[in-house]
Amino acid sequence: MKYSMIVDINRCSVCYACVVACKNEHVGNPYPPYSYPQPDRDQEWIRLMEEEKGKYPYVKLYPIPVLCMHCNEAPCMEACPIPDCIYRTKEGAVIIDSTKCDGCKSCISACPYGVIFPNEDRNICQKCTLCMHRLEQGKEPACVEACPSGVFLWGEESGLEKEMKKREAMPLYREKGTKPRVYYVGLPTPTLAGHVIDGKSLMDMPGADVIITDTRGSSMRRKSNVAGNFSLDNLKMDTAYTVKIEHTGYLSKTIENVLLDIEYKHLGDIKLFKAS
Amino acid sequence: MENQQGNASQSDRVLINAMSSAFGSLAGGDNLLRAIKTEEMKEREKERVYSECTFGGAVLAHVKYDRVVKTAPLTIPENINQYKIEAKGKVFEPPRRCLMDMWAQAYRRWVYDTSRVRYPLKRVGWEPGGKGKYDNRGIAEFVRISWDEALELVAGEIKRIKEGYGNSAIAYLTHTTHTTWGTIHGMGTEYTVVPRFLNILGGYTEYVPGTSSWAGWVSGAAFMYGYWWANGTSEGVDSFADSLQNSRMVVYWGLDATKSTRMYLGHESEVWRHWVREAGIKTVMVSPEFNDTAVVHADRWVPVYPGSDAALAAAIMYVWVTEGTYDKNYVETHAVGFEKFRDYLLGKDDGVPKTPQWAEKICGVNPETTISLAREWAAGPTTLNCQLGGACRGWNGHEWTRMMVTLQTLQGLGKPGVNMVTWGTISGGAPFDKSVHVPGYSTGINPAANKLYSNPIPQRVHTLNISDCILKPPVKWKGGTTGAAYWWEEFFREYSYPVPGYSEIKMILRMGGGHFASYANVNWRAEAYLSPKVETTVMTALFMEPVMRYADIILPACTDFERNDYSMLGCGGLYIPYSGSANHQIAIYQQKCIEPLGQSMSDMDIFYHLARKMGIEDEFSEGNTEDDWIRKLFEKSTTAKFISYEDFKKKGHYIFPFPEKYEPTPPLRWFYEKGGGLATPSGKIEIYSRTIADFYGENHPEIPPVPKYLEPKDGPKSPQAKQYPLIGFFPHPKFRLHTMMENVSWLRELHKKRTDGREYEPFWINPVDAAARDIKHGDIAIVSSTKGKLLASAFVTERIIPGSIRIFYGAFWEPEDPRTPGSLDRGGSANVLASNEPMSYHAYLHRVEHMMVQVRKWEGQR
Repeated sequence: MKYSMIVDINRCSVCYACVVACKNEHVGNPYPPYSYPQPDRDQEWIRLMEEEKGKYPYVKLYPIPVLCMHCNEAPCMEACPIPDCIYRTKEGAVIIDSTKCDGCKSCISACPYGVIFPNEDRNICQKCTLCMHRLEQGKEPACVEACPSGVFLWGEESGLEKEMKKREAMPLYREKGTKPRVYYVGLPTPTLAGHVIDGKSLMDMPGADVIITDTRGSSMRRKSNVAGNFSLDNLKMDTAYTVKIEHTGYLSKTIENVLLDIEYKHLGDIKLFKAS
Repeated sequence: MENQQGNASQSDRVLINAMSSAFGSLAGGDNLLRAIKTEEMKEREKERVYSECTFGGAVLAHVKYDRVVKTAPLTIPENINQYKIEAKGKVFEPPRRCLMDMWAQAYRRWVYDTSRVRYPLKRVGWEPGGKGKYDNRGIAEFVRISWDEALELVAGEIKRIKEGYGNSAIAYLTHTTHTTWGTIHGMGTEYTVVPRFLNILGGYTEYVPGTSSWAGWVSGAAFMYGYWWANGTSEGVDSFADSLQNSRMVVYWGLDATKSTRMYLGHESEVWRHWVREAGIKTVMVSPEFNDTAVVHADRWVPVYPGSDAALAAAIMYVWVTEGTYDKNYVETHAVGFEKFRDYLLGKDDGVPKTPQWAEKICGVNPETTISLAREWAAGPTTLNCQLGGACRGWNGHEWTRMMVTLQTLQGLGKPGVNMVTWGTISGGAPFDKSVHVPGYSTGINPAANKLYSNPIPQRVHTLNISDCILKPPVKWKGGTTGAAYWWEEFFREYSYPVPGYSEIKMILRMGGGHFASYANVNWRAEAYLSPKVETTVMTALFMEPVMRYADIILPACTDFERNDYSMLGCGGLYIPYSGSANHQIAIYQQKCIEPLGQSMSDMDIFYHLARKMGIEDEFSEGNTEDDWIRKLFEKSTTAKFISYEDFKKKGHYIFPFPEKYEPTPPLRWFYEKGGGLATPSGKIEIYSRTIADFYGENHPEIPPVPKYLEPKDGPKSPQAKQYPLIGFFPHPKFRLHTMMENVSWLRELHKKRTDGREYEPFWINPVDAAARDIKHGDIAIVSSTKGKLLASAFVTERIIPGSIRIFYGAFWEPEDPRTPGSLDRGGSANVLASNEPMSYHAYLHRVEHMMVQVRKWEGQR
């Protein structure tokens, strides 16, 4: 049975419970045959990468929990010169065998995610084990259990597939092509956002249609949410977009030539006026 | 050095053991193990699980080889009924586990930190009898002494001081900065055991810590609607169910709920804020910072300058009044004095209408945003989530809280969906079975004692004047409440120090969290300890925190993992009687799971020993052992109806099932229905306070009878702003609780900037302000105010309003020279910058949140 994980960063409130839970689980505690104790400092088997985008006062924070991706095509496994030192468990976890590892750090250089750490005292390399010792007891990984916000969706790979499709979950740094087992929802992509309000009452306008079109004519459509906000992601940087906002009973509004010059571009308050 | 090293070597043994079976023999380790593997070792090898309640919430401590190896969440079995809330076509139900935060996750690391004080210590140079050296306090070394010697010295000094100067010469300093969780130990000892000990001896000079996290509420809001017993915060139980079911919008104002409500219970309330989003309710954050709550829980961020919020509130109400979108009927029937407030809004008394344009100049909010927010607010029931910390601790904090109450009053406070509260901490939010009573730290051992003792000494000092009292008496002041003010007279009472006929302070007995970093003006605070007038200073300590350097004798206390106690998750006892701050009501027998480290002992034990030395043991203990106190408290609590004491001790906790039939009591709904009955002179909400008018007159510049925006005396328009042009604000910290856990490496490495062999506290600064000072992200900068200067690392971010910087208070104070007041602080302890001036003429309380500061790049020049 192989496990997988969806990390929904839209729900993350930057509380660091997952990061410290990992330390609580692993620092000083060995879980043979999967891991030596994590040292007191300088190893974050899961870290929180706070990616800040946008310009004051329209800021967007993407808190991205980064742990070992337990890649299906793991560069660390290929890079390791010692036979069977890095192996995969039937649960899908990529494990460094501490009894075989000699601390050569080849895996560290090979890993595109920066989630393997040297332990100079013991001459080994260490990383997240997907909490194999807990999986064997039928528990979820410590970081998953610690999250108060439901950021981590954890389960059997096959059971998560539908959800992954539905939520357009993506690996972090997809371009690295390592086929991770950890998928993300809400990763930072070039985004255009705005707040639609009634030009007279200045109140939020939910349900407005926002259509953006690039210079080649391909377009995307979104509805503004309960607070009048819209956000279109997965756009292209340095591209000019035409933004059209429509709402029944209102004159539609077109903003030409919106250049996506920063990764999170917010158009501020956009006023629509009644048709009469 | 019994921390990581000790931990690692022990772990190794376990690893070798397990690995030897898994992989065959390993040279050396295997044989070694076989040699020591006795029956006893086998027994110790078994993992044991204990129930604990920490200031970060309820946990299960896993112990192996007599060491805590892990803290894990306490879980709620499926067969125990828990609350469910139906709202907006959905059913919301909490997770079946306690939601631990980073503090609870790091708790074991804290317990074993190398800075633990393990033995009684005596300062080199100090001698009993007032004969020692005083000029090395702050820089002296300590020598280890035996408990016998330590107790002998402390008891001897108490006797000497008492006989020589009288009881008033002994001051007991405790602080609302918390030690470990507990009802008879820890915080319970601070509040009840030590005062009992001293009162039996004839009393002491009381130190009033003042409330700081709730300062504006008790001094402002309470005059409007009462709730003196809750520090001026109103009812919390059932509030978020009311919001989920009935509110159209939730406004978070002047606080970072995700961060600050963790105190006492971890992330219990975080799920509620997620539910608000899931229920399709829109949310707004009004704050100088785009804080963690805003990151995930706010549709809109309205940045305001720190301390200017009251102006925005006035402008919102101006819009309501001029557009007629407030609840006129409610205001007529439920409030008094609205007309006078309306006159203020319309500018009838001062010629200045409080328009959105007027407010913009003060708070920086675009008038269209203000109008938009005002109209959204009035368009349907709105929850105002605003109470803990933040703006209420700053300049004129009482005007902010009165504005908050007035906002909701104008929209019909108590009506379905119109409530105000902070979800979490002690102000609650969840459905709550009110038939459950479990004692807490605020009443400590008192409910179990046959006889209580009061303090006959009328003399007191206040946290805002303690150093002045010691260094340059006499000192006079007005007001200055105790932790919670129980009535408004408290504000008008006059005090002086020394009280005629009573001696000045000659001996300080101090326990509790490190107050240097938690209270304003650290330099000034430390100065008092340098005075030769203070002949003896005794401190109980868990860790060698900065304040301990000023002690003469240090008595090592132990953590809650090292003794037994009885408490309830998230409940401070009488503090706020019905809190509903956690998802489940859990009574906890805090099981001692390891022996006290070194020679440390429980807070209560220390005073047992001292009582014996002083010859008052019988009165003090009434023959009770630790277990007797716990049992007596247990028998007086609801828990005793459901489980025997023996079973409770063994099991470690009892989870009260949520009642099958539950009648919710949404906050202030009764008042909405009744139109009176509040603890105010009129029984209604007093927008115009007759009490304030009678005492201060109609036009007091610092405390008007109706809430007003008041220009801060030492704010951005004051003369000092020329030299210190940025508004510094110092909120409750994220990675520590006050100063607690500041020493934990796991947490330090998450936020401190490591450079040139040091760790620097970060401060937030907008790129505009950073660029103007040639400061780049990660640069070390010197931050200064009229009170002091510190080094911190620049965290350049768009998440803060320009013109302002943010530093979390509570970092350990590390002055370059502990004996020179004003010396550069390398620890980045924000309260070095904060002023100990009272909030206002009216409120003799902390206003630690705000201070004008300047920042420049650190290039080695002081």
